[in-house]
Amino acid sequence: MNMIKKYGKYIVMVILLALVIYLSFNSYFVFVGINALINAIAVMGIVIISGYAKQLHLGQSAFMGIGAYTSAILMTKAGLNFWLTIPVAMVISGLFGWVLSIPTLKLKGGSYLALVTQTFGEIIYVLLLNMVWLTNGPFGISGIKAPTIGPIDFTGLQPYFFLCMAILIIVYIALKRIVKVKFGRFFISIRESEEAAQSIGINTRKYKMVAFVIATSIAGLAGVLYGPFIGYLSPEQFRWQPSLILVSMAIVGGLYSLEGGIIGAILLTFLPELLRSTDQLRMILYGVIVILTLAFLPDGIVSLFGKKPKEIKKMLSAQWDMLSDKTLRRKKKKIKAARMSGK
Amino acid sequence: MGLLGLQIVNGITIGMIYGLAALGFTMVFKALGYLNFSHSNTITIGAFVIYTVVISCNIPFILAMPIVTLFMLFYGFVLEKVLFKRFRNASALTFMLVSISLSTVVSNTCLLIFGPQPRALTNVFPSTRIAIGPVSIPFNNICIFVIAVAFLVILQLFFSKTKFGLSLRLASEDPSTASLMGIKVFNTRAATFAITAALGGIAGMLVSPLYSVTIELGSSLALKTFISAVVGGLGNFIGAVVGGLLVGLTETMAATYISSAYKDLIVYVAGIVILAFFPYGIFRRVKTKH
Repeated sequence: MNMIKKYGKYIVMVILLALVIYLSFNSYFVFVGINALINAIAVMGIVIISGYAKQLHLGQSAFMGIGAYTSAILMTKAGLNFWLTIPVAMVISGLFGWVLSIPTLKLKGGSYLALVTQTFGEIIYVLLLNMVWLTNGPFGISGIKAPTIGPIDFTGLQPYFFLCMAILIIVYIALKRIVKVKFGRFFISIRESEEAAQSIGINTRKYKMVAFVIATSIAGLAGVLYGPFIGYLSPEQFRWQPSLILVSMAIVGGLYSLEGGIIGAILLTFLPELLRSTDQLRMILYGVIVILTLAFLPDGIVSLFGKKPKEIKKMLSAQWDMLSDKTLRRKKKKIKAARMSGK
Repeated sequence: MGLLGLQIVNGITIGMIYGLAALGFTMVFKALGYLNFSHSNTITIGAFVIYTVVISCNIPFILAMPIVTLFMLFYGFVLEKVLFKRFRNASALTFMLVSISLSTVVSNTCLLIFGPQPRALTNVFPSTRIAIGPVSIPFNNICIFVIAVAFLVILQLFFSKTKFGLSLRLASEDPSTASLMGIKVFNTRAATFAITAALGGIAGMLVSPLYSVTIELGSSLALKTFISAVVGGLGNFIGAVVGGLLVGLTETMAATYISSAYKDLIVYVAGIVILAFFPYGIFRRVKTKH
């Protein structure tokens, strides 16, 4: 019993890995799986800025677009190696994020960043569409080749799947380190109360900017991976709707933890595939799921893990009471009863 | 000279529409401190409802306007009672996320109901032109401007003369004091959402004779609406209308004299730059002491 408790985590991981390797021979699963992994990388960026620092970021796919286009242009026009384009794309995405954060993050509350990032997504769309000499405009960039490393060729879906998984794990470990050390504590202090954070001498603007630059450069990385996977880039792929889907994933999984982001990305990528719904129904489904999650599980699906059914039931009923005004009615009843007895 | 004059008229016309929509957006922010991203839906719904009423039911535009306004008031009221009321204690972040998700649900539902094809609402107003000096102004624009101003005057009278309007203003300034003075803050919340939905609907209704009526109408106007509200200062009513006019003028001028492909880009970048230098709007530079 003790053994299971001690090594349970590792046993689950091994079983999961075996399952994934078994499934990776199914090409349909692998295709959706790569999508899910790339989304998971981008969603972790959203978790850093929106979950840890509580600044709503609505333009993540625009930064993915910057990364994807940078990498694709460097590869197809300048003939650069895929691996070299990763740092370049991350730096450029991060630079855009830094420039955008200068006017925005000096303001308090997450509202302004939401507005500005949404606007920025549209700016990037217009730029990608109209700078035909660089981005090929509405025709898009095609012929993006998959990378190779020594003898290993990542052209097939299966090798690429494991490459994405490896990168996801590296990013996850790196981000986990970042949020565990001083930085993460500062982000959380900003989330809890910006005023309090300032009063103990934290430069909130600086750390919000750090969080945003991390988020955007990770989006750049996700974009780089997206290019060779699809093999074709067009401005429509990085507009408002994909950004929204990424935010939905973060919320459903759990906005306040990195694992939540990954779980949300995997769930919401596979769910519509299972239902094989049309595009509109899929967006409606996303919207309804997000609203229900916000209503009943504000901390996402990860908040259910490691809890007994009784606790979950209690949590849900507390949320239900809050939503259906029961607490208010009970208070009113109490006041009424108090008055009656007073008389 | 003629072109410049015409473009100024066009800019003011579209700017009034942005202003009306931005007024609704800013009003929710003032009253509740939340950004209501589902505001852009009201523009789409307003446009589609007026199209349906005018074309399918053969009711003249002028008579259709009150019908649409009432419908939008009802829509906003129901939305608040069904959904937004539940999230009144939530953080600003949660509310924003709820409104964004709601906006996707509503716009995709509209897409399923009405289909993606664009519709044109033509011949609403007589297509004569009125010449003032070298500028010949389309009668269309004058009508839209007059209607927009009329709605603004009605709104101003409502907020300054009626008791309910005054109580709405007090509740948005300071809800706790308002509730102490016997104002039912819950009702004022519902009224705020109803009025803002009506404002969005009016904007959609007025824009429908100018642009074709599509599902993307709301989302294409949404960002400019947000920028109008930010330029005027979030929570500032007059600022929202003036911001709308500025955005409209910038857009038409940029389209005429710089590049029509980049006109939206210029507006957005200008909006972000203004946010950088005047974070609380162009009318007020300092809000909090630090």
